[in-house]
Amino acid sequence: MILILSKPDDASVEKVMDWLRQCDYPCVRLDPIDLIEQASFCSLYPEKLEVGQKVIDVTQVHAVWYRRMSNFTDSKYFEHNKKKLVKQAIAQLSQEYNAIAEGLPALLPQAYWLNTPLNDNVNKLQVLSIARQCKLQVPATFIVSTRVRLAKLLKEFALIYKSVYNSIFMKVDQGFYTMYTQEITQETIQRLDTTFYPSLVQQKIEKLYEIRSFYLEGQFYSMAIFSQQDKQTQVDFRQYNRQNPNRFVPYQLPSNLESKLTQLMQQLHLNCGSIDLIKGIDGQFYFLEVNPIGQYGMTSNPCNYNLDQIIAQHLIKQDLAYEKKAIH
Amino acid sequence: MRQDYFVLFACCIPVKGHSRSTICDLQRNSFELIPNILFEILTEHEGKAMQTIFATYHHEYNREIEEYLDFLVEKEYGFYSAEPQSFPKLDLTWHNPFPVTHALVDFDEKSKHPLPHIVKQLTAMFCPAIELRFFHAPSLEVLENTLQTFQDSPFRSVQMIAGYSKDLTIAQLTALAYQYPRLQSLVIHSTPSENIPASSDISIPHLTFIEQNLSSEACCGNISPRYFTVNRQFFTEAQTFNSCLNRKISIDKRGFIKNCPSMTQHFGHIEATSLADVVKQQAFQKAWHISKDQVTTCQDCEFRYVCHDCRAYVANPGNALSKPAKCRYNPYEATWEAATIG
Ligand code: SF4
Ligand code: SF4
Repeated sequence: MILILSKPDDASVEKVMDWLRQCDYPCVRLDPIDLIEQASFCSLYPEKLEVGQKVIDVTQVHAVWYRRMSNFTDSKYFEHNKKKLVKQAIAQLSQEYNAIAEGLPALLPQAYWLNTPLNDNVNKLQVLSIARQCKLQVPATFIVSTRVRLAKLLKEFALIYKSVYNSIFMKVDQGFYTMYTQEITQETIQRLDTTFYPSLVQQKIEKLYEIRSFYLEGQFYSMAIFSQQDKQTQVDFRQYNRQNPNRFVPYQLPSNLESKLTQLMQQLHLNCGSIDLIKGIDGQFYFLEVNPIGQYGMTSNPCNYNLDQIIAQHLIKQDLAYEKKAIH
Repeated sequence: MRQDYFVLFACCIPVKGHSRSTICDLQRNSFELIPNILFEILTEHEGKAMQTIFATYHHEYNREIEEYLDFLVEKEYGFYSAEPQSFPKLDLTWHNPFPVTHALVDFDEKSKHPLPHIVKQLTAMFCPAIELRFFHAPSLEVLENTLQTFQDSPFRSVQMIAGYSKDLTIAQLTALAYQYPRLQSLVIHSTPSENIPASSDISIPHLTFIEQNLSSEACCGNISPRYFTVNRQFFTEAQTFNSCLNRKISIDKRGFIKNCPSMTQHFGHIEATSLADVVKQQAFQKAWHISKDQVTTCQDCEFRYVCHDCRAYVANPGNALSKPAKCRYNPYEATWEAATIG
């Protein structure tokens, strides 16, 4: 049986489950947040997992797909108690929840895990350093906190700014913030204070196109993104232009680059993820970053890669293989 | 010449017709008409260096060829590149996990087939989309009960058309749409022209009033550029399957199970036959596999992968593979005829 750990509104999970259903393959879905939302019981030995009415027979689970789970602050528990609790208590409870969710692999140590919470948070700087060890080209990268230093760098390189931590959406009262990759200009520098919060600054690569590659156990499903025609998306294609969408087309990476990237993924202990690259006008490929649990739909759909079915089949294959292993 | 090769973006696919061709842009949902000579350059000489292409035409048309291709670059259908091998074509296989992708159920005032019974069976097949056509004017209560049937079902889209009645107010219908978010569109047909509300009076996009009288299944099967669909799903499905009937199941207003309500052939009555059994039958699936490439005239038409097919109303009833009767396009002359059908 396949276990899927995810938020309830994950569209990719829905689609993979459609394929599993088509094969009549047993599968359960669990949002770890239910562990705090509902009466739950978990025993490490003998292995048991009960969440509300759901009793998950963990001994029957041989493959697990780990997607993003809900945050503590999404929970009803938090909603009900946030006024009563002091900030520190919230932080502590949130960490407790994360630790439980991240501990789920302990309950299923013999199962195959497609992505795991254990190495979900990759550090961008660490990744860049390992990428270099794998002989991948990476843009010059700095952490800067003074205007003088930034001005000096700008004389040497064109520069962009990005977040060190995951550049996911931040929820604020008025809506969402996203930290887009942004270009640094003379004007930006003039607007800055003499010192500022340490920021990740990278050499801006003049690009022919961007590449996003979905990696699954040694296989690459790559896509080129042509955003150059369009000023609005030149620095970061996520700043979407709805009138004239960028071109997203299938792409074939050179095989020596694929083997370097495979090496990188292996060193990061990631069996699945989305890799961002740039093809520079100098003809070189530059590695930018990797997201362990990418929204692969944005690659799969335009390129007709059919990744939902491929992932479903992969999970089935692994579930059967690990089940066999468990019997012997 | 900037680079050696011209490459079409993989989502821009040339389709050849008898007298002209199209480039179907599956990402921007549009198409461009191009002359057949350009189709030839883009397909027969695909992947060849520009100089080789020039030589094929004995260097007589270098300037024209370059102008054509520059035009395609300007319109963002393609680009010049030194590495055409890095840009594979789009795989045009259609993938879909559902044994039935959409259902069509008709009603008139005399209909007796109970919807819950049908919905239950479709739910067991995980059918994601359903269209309900009321040829008459149902009451608000009927509409409400109908939508209620879909609560807690896995349907992702419910579309309805219903006849106009002065008892159905915009406010009521709007409230209905809010209450049932699965309702993706509600079209009120046979609306007297003086009662068609101004669009500013309607606050939700999926409610439309039309004058057209859709009081029987014979209103279906119209072919027009207005109904062309240019996207990846449609285009890939149309490569091998029927663009109207593939994985569709219908229940006509008398409760007979059919590929499409307008067809005469039925596969049993909903009272006595299970939908799952019908779907499995080869005879039922036959219509699914009639692609445009098999239909006479359509197979020579540059719109064949963006145009809905119709198998119920065909130009020559003696030939199941003749083109849709309600199409007025003649791909041999590249003209839309005003009145003649055929
Ligand atoms: S086959 Fe023709 S009449 Fe039947 S549903 Fe399709 S378009 Fe309508
Ligand atoms: S000839 Fe066929 S494909 Fe062309 S417009 Fe008419 S119905 Fe559509």
